[in-house]
Order: sequence, then structure tokens, then C-alpha cells
Amino acid sequence: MSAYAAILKDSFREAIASRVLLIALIGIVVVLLLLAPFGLSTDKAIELRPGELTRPEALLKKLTAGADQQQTPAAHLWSLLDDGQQERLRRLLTPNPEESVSRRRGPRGNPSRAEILNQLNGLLTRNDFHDADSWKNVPLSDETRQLLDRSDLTQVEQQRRNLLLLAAAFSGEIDIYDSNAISLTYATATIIGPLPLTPREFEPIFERVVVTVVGVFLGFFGILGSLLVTAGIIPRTFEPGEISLLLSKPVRRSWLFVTRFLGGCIFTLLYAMVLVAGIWLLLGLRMDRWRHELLWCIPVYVFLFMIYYSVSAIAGVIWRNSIVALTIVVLFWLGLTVIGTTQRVMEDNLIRQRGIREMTVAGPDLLTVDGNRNTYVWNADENRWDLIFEVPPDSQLRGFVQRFLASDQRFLPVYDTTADRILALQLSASRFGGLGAPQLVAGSAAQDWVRQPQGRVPDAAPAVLVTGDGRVLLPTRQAIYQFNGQSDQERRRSDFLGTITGGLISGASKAFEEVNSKKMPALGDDFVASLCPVSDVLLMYSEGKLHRLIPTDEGRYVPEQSRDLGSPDAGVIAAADPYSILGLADGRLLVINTTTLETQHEVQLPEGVLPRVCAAAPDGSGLAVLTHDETVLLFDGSTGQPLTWRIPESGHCTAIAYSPGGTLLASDGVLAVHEYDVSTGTRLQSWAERPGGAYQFYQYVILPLWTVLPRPYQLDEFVTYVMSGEKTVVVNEQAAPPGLVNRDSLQQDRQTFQPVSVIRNNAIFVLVMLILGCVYISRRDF
Amino acid sequence: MISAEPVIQVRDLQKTYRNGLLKRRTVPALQNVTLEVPRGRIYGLLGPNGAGKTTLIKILLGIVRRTSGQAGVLGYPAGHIAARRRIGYLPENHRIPRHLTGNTALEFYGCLSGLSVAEVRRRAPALLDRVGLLGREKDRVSGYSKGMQQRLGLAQAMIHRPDLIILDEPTDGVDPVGRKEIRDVLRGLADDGASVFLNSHLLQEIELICDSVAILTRGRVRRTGSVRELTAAMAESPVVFRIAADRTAVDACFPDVSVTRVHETAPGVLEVQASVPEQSQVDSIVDALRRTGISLISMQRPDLTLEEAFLQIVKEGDQ
Repeated sequence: MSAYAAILKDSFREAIASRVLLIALIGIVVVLLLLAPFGLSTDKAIELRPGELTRPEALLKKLTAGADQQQTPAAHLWSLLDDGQQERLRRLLTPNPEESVSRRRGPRGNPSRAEILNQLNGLLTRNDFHDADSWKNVPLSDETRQLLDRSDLTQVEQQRRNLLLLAAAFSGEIDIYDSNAISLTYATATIIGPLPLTPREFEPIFERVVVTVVGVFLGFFGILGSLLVTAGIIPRTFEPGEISLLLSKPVRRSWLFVTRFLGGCIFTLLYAMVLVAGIWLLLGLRMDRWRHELLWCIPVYVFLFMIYYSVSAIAGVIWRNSIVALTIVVLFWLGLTVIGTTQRVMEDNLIRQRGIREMTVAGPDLLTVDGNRNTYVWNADENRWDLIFEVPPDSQLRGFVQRFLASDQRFLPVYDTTADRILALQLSASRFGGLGAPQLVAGSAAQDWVRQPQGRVPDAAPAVLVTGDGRVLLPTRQAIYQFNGQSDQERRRSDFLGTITGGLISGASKAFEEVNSKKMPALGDDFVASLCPVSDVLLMYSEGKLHRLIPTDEGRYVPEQSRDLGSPDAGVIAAADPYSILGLADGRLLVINTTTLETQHEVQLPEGVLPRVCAAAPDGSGLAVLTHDETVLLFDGSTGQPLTWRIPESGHCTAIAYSPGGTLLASDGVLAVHEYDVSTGTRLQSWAERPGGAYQFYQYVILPLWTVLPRPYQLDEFVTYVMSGEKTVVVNEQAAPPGLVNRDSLQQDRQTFQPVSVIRNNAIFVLVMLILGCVYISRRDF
Repeated sequence: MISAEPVIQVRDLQKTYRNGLLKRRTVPALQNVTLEVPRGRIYGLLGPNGAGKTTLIKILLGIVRRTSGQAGVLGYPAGHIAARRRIGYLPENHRIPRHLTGNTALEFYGCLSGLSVAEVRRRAPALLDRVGLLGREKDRVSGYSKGMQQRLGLAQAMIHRPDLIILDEPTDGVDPVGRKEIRDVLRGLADDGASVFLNSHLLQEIELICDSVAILTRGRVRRTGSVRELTAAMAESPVVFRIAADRTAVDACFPDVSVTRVHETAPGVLEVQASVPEQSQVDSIVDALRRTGISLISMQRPDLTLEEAFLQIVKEGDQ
């Protein structure tokens, strides 16, 4: 092996002798030295940050109500505002109706929210912020009390105290979940700070910046530079004067080629080592973030380089010309980019947006919902899906609201058997940023599936539930509402109020009546709920706790039992009798005894695979789980045991549902739905629309190419993965403004990151290229 | 132990190159070449450009695959890795990577030949001294002249002390003094027991140092043997008759014979050069001289130079 070691060593010498490497290394060192003074400092937060203002409308309402109150925090704070400030805040509650919601910016830059924040943060600097009488009934934290007891507060400490007082006074509207604030420093000077982000919000941004810096310097400039330098190594080696000399030595041709190839990789290795190790040291020494995972970038980017270099090497051997080799590898790079981009765009638009995402059986009709939340009904005469239940253009969510904020909201029309109609929640944007209160809408075949607004729900609800006797329930964090119908006059009033306030509270119409006992389980934002079709028992899961609520004779829901599952926040649930199914964000699937809440059976999904949808047969005969990697797992509804039989669509299934008769419906990910009798494992019928030309182009041209060719961009995802430790990637998170997408929700489109498969796919390509190169040179005369 | 087995054995070797991607064109490079190179000798391979000399060498080294026939080197099939371990090769127009120095080049090629770095470093000074590069060993190859690169190439071929050294135009680009030094090196190698297979079109080089020679033209071996054997009188060469007569006797005594030169070397003494390939023609001339009473002072068929022999053989090959 010493001969091959000598070749490697020679490559190393060549890399060292290269001036490009020297220039690149000097450049890296200069950049690192310029970056070195950057640092982060962490201090106590003294300002209210946008993300902490969870309910701006409610806060605004409480604050303006302070004008009519005595000795309350709201009254005191309102009194601290001058007339102009009060007027501006009042105007936020009565906006100009002609102002378009869609033209407003996101929650971070939302002008209404920003106005509230400015006013409140201005108050925090005041010495007279605290009034003992006003805060006497407000429970205070230990830190707040300690600060109140001191008389020698600095300006910063006073501001901190005021912030804590504000959060305590409006605990339902303000959530300070991180008491630290981050500032960006350069040497000893603070250049930006404190940032309007909590450390938790800052962390993903920080990761993205690091990944971007590494990606740009290494993934682009590094690869390009390395290719420029190394493109000549193999053509030079195989030039007549050199190859004759080398082949006269006792070395094998194949190994000579492979070793030269590996030798070329040394250049990238040097480059990557210096850059990544430098960034790693900077992060550790200057920002106290010792991200050892970052060092994985070194082999990852060398591997990425190997993909391109394998093509360059083959071209170099065949044509023995570095210009030709470089041209071919650039064309290859462009080709991969075009194919990868086309695949992603087409998958996003054809599969994710147009493919079937939800299904429901509405009497004799089969309805499907696509990724754009459009509803379709099967047209048996034309063998196609017809668009129905359309959202009026002026009610549609636009831009980032639809794409990012609403991406964690499940849209599933529910069939109300009693009234022969479908019900769904129509999401809307709030003027204060984020989502507003949803509208309950209904439609029926008799009315040609026209969407009819029924009323604005008092609060965000994850689902519409219909009991066996036709009652429509809307579970929210605070209460369980029952829809009672409403008059046209009430609806108009509701809509008016909803419009002028953003709709969350004041828009609540009298159409919704609380049907819960006073003692509601504590629920987080990402709670889920499901109703047993037979017993009408309500199961709710939130923040690791499963709650069972049972209906009283009067139809009110009372908590009957809770169970701590010690699990993460997010989950998906489908309730039935005797067993329900619960999918958790830690990858566990629990078959739960609906009566006792005991776990009947537990399945652990493979690492990185998360559940997306749980479904239960109305008669309790079957349970099913659809995961984000489009696999379907089935359980026997009577025993709770998993079934070994898998539907053929498992692996590329995008939607599951049970029909009223207990048969399983599964979508193949495109435009087909198949019905299965799980007990016999037979397909009963199918509803399949013939895909259009674009899909066929995707299926037969782009997808095969994308499958066969390497996907170097996946290595960027690899870096993101090693940096964040996330096993799954929320599909649209990278495109969203930082912190906007709820990455905890299981409803988000996710791609499971499988580093082994990424490495394997790309490694196979490199291996094939090397084998082809070896075969070529072993058969060639030199 | 020195074996009497030839270091190179080639039998009925053929090589045909196929050119062109769509329209395949065949070019015969070697045709039924049969050759044996004895151990411990300096063996020269002569031939005009395009004769197939380099192809033959590359087949011996496994750089080019043979089309048919057999070729063996040092008892192994041609190109066998074990054989290559015992061969030193200096290719024509070789290119040693420019980023290397004299020392690192020797280290690189020495290690490729199976030596350890320490062993290369131990051998390098003497070797560099032997090829005249001592003092320039730390310079980059990119700063070497053509002659220095040739010397370095020779050094890398010798670094692992091979049993067989194959040299393709080793004095190409080297000045006359350098050529002499290279010849001395090669002679020294042969004296040390190594075999040298020398490919050159510089006839003088071959004539000066080779023990045996093969002449290759148009892919075929035309002659093999020692230089002496090749340059010795050949039947086709003219005969010089020295007679005591005047010019009028020439027509009478040399009928039907191509007289190429007549020169009066002394009063009454003529030197007549005639092309008489057949012995019967010589006998007829002698009979005619005796019949006419002319004294035959001497008669000689002189040796050819290697160049003359080579040109004659090439000419024959072309015909």
C-alpha cells in the first residue's frame, strides 16, 4: 500500500504547492479574523418582544377598557398614556375597513402589533409604571417581588421589573417564556441589541446563519474553487508522458485512478478543515456555542465534492483535458440544479398542493381536499374530481398567512349526517398578525356545495366535531363550544365585529354556546381533540396529557379522567370505542383504551418518522395511522393489536380515512382513492382521475432522473440536520421568516431526514462513477 | 543467481490499434514480432519513427495490451505487476510532475516501485551524483532543463535497482557531454548485471553501447544480432578489386557488371568497385582478369557502417 500512500502524499504535495489553495486559505483566515470579534451577550430581557404578545387583540381590548376602571393595572397603564397615544390605540380597534388585510405584513412587522409593542415598551421605561394599589390583586413572581422590595434599582432593573409587572397583569395575553435577551456584539461594543427575539427564537436563526455561511463558503465557493484546482489532476496524470511512467510501476490502474481521485479530495478536505474548524472555534470561543456537530460539515462537504469530482475524473480520463473536464462538471452541476429544482417545484405544486391530502365521505359522495385546501367531489360521469365548496376570493388567506401561518392547520370537512351537509373551519388572517378566529362554514350537495358562513368561532379550534345526534362541537383552549345556528341579523353583526376587531373575541357570535363544565383541562396551543362516534366521549391531548371528557345528560362536557403520558407537546388523535389511537411527536403510536385511557398497545416509529394523521373507523373496527413518510399502519379496532397487512399505497399514501361502513380509504398520493376491506385485505373500488401531462412529465421524466442522479442539495439538509438535531424537516420552514412556522405541529408537511439514505444514494453514484472510470482505464491503451 | 533465461521473450507479437469512434480504422503497429533479449546485455531496438518500437516497450510493460502473440518479461507475462517491480522505465517525452523537486520525485517514484521513504532517501544522493544532479536535488522540476529532466528520469528508473531497465530515447535532448555520461551509466548498469533495453533512433548511440540490436521497421523485426554481425559484409555490398591495369581493361574484364566506381590509386593501379552480389560473377571477373593477364593485387568486400546497414534494411523493409 505504500505505493498508493505515495500517490496520496503526492496529491497532498500538489495541493500544498497550489497557489489557489494558498490564496483560499489566506482568504479564509482573513474572513475568520474579521468575524472573530462578533459575539453574543445574554442579558435579562427588559422589553416586550413580538413573539411574547400572544393575544394582541385581547390585550388591546383590556387596555382600552382600563379607561373605565379604577385601580387595575389596565386603568393605571391607560392613565400613563397621553391623549395621542390613547387615540392611536383606540384606532387600532376601529380600523379603516377599506384597508386590505392581505397587504399587511407578517406578525413580526405587523404595524398594529408593532404599535402596541411600541406603546407598551415606552411605558416600561417610566418610573411611575408600578402602582401598588393597581397590582394588589395580581399574583407576582418571586423575581418581581424582590425587585419591588428594592429601592436602589438601576434603570435596567426598573425596566425589567416593569416588564414582569406587565406580564403578570396580562398573563393571558402576554407570555414571557424566556427571561433572557440576546445582543450582538463586535469586540466590546454592542452593535445590535437587545434583539427582539427570545433565545429560543434566536436559535433557529443562528443555526440558519451558520448553515448559510458554511454552505456559501464551503458548498459553493469551496466546491467551485476545489473543482477549478483539482480538475487538472486526473487529466495531467493520464497525459502520455506521466501515465506511461506511472503504469510502468508496480501499481494497479484502478487503484491509481481511485487514489488520484481521493488525492484530489484532499484539497477540499484542507479547505473544509480550515474553514469549518475556524467557524467552530469562533462559535465556541466567542459565542460559547461549542457545536461539535459542525465538524461533521467537513466530511459532508468533502463527500459533496466527491460527487462532482467523480464526474470530473471520468471526463478527465476520457478526454485528458482539464478544460473539458471542468466544462462537463459545470454542465453536470447545472443539470442537477435544474432537475432538482424542477423536481421540488413540481412536487410542491403537483403533489403537495394538488395531491389529495384529506378525504371524507359525505353521504353518497366522496370528497377530497388538496394541499391548497380546495375541496373536490368525485364526478363519476367524467371520472374526475370537481372543485366544490370554494372559498370566496375575498376570504382567502393570502401570501405568508396561507403558506406559513396556516400550514399547521388541518382542513378536514366533516359530514353532518343529520343535516346532510359538510362543515369546515375557514381560516382568516388577523389584522394584528397571525391567524384570526375561524369561520364555521357549511355546504351541501342540495345547494350545489356552495360555502355558507355560519358564524365566527370564539377562538381557534383544531377541528369541527359532530356528535351522533348531530350537535356540532368546536373545542378550543378555553372552552368547548356548541354551534346552535344563528339568525341572519346575528351573522351580520358577528361579521361586522369580527372584521373590525380581527375577530378573535368580539366577533364571537351568539351562535356558539359553551358546553363545558367550568373546570376545563389546561390546554396548550397545539392541542388536538377527537370525538368517539358512538359514545360521544371527547378525547383531548395537549402537552403530554390525555384528557377524557364525557357528556352529561344535559350535553355538557366534563373532564372525567386525565393521564400523563410524559410526552412532547404535539400529537394527533382519533377516538373510537373501544380503542382510540394517539400519535405523538416522539414517534410513539399508542392504542388507548378509550374508557380507562390505559395503553393497550404501543408502537415506536422508526427514528425521524412522525405520525401525521390518525383515523378510526366509526364502528371501532379499525384504527389507522398515516406517517409523514407516507406509510400507513393499521390496527385491529377490537383488540388494539397492529395488523401485519399493509395497503399497497403504504409508502406513498397521502391521505387516509374510514368510511361510515368501516372500510378504509387511502389516496395514492396523486389523484386516486382506493377503498379497502381491511378484514379481508381486498380492494373494493377506486376513484382515479387520469393525471395530466405535467404529472406524467414529472412521473416519467423528472422523477426517474431525480432518483438516479445524486442530490447534492440534500447534503445542505444534512448540515441543517446535524446543526439542529432535528430528525424531520418542516417543508416550508426554510422559506419562512424566522420563527413564523410552528415547527412543533404534526400537521406541518415534513420530510423525514434519513442521513443514511442520503449518504447511500450519493455514495452509490460516486461508486458507479469510480467503477466506470476503473473499467475504462483498465481497458484503454495509454 | 543469474539465470540464462532471456529477460525479454517475444513471440509472434501483434498489435493493431483501432481508431475512430464510428468508422473504425485499424492500424497495424506490430506484426509477428519475435525477439529475445539476453540477460546482462545492453540491447538496442532500432527503427524509424512509427516502426512500433514504443508500442513494443509499452506492451512489455503492460501499458498497451497486445492483440495476439506472446510476450514475457523476467519470466512473467508482459505487464505482470511482479515483473514491473523489477523493471525501471524511462519513457520518451516523460513528464515528471512540476510541483516535485529532484528529491521528492525520487521519493515518489521510489515508493511507487515498492521502496520505503527511508530507503529512497538513503539511495538518492549516490544516484543523483551518478546522473549528475547532485546539488540540484532540492530544485523544483519545473526549473529543470530538458537534459536535467532526462537525468532525473534515468535516476527514477534506477532507484529501485531493477533487473531490467527499459529506456525509450534516453539521450533525447541531452548534450554530447551528457550523452557520454548516460552511456557510461548504462555501461555501468550492465557491468553490475542489469539488463538494458534501449530504444533509440540515434544510431551512433546504439553502435557505441549496445551489445545486440534488433531493427524494427513497419512493425516487423528485420534483423537481430550484434552490431558487428549487422555491420559485417553483406552479400549485397560491392566488392573492391585492386588491379594492375589501365582504364581500358575495365570494360573487358567487368562485362555485364555494375561498376560503381573506378579510381586510379597509383600509376598503373586501379581500384574498381563493382556490385557483384553473386559469387559466380566474382569468379567470372577473376577468370577474365587472368585471361587478359591483368594482375589482381587485392579483392575485398568491406564492412558497412551501422547507418549504412540500417538504411539498407529499412529500404528492404519499405520494398
